[in-house]
Amino acid sequence: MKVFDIDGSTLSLALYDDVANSKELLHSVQAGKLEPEVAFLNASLIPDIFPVLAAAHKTLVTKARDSLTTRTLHSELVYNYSGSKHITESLKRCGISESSTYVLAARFNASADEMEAVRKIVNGKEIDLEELEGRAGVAEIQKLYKVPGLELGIGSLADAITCRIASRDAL
Amino acid sequence: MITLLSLSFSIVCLVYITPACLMSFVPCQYAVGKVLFGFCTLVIFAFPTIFFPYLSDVFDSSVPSEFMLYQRVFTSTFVGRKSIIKERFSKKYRHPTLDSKLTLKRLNAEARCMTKARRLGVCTPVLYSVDQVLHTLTFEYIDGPAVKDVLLEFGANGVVEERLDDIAAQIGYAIAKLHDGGLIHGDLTTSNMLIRDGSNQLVLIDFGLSFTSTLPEDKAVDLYVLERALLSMHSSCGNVMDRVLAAYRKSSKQWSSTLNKLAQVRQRGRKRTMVG
Repeated sequence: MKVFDIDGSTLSLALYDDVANSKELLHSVQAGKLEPEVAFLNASLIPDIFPVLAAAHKTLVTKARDSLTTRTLHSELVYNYSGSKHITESLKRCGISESSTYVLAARFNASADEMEAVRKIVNGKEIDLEELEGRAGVAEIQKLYKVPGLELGIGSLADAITCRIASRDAL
Repeated sequence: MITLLSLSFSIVCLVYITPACLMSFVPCQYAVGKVLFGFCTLVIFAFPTIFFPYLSDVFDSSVPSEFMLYQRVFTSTFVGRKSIIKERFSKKYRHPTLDSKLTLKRLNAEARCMTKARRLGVCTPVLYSVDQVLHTLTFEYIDGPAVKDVLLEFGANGVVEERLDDIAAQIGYAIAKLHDGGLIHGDLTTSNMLIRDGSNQLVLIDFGLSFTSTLPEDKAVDLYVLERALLSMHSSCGNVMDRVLAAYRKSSKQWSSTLNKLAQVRQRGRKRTMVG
């Protein structure tokens, strides 16, 4: 688990593998009853933490201006990680599904107790964030964000994702 | 800027000092008329003194005066990484609705064109964030000199042939990729190209004037702007444009129509749009 500072607020990230209860987690998130409130991201779409931080920055800015497009702060994080404006589709693709086993949990301004509680509700093995790069599904990411091979020649996959996250609302 | 300011100020002073002498020559019988005439000349000379500081902003940010959109650039950090924030602020003399529409439109166009350029394989800084309320764009900070500084250094200290060749080839290749994808940069000058430290990779910046077009005319004008810029600033480096065009010819698929048009544009002189 790692804590990042974004303009005053903190973001705590924890990576889990071999998650068995993703179905229950998904249902409790959709019902809004997950305690403490966490954002679950499909970790195979994350090659590096920087795009997640960029999405988090964007989320905090929209929260400060009271212009969230989804219901909660954490679902906004999942929506912002996507390159598409379609909310349901973004939540489905970038969030967890019933069969996902490789999950990144994120929470804003979390205390150590809350992250401990998260570790208890997620039925899986916590692994180090450095493993993100090795386990990322490059082909999957390329297809979702429509990254042509040319673009990978001039920058990393994380750069491509960050660009799309930033310019999504300008399109 | 300071010398011109003092010049305008001195003109104003002159106007103040010589009223008595001039007033007698003003062809008007009434004193009121003479005072009015003096006042008008004063305003005419005072105008540049007051507005010159703002006008110089336009020249500094390399934006043609017909757009009148001013930009400020800051360095900052974005979640721990060094970044550049480009703010596009509006001038209050414009009608507010029109002004906000224009600023937003240009902001979105710049973000879109930058992502499109990346998709075509042209190296640009990574866009970190776009803020539509504050009218700012946040990009990655590129460590390294502008091509302008490198070429000026070549002009002053002697040319390193292979480095020049490499830079010119990269410029030609990047522009070819842009044009083949239907994107026109709009402001191709050597100060809008950076060389990344370490990897010596060319990075194109400032897509604020870019637009989509497949017309050979627009591509030729784009190349012509670069040619004029190179001729005016870097003629001491030898013929850089030839090398750029050679690389363009190698990398572009539609080079023949563009280069033919370029020959025509050279004969005409510089023209931005074919309207009217």
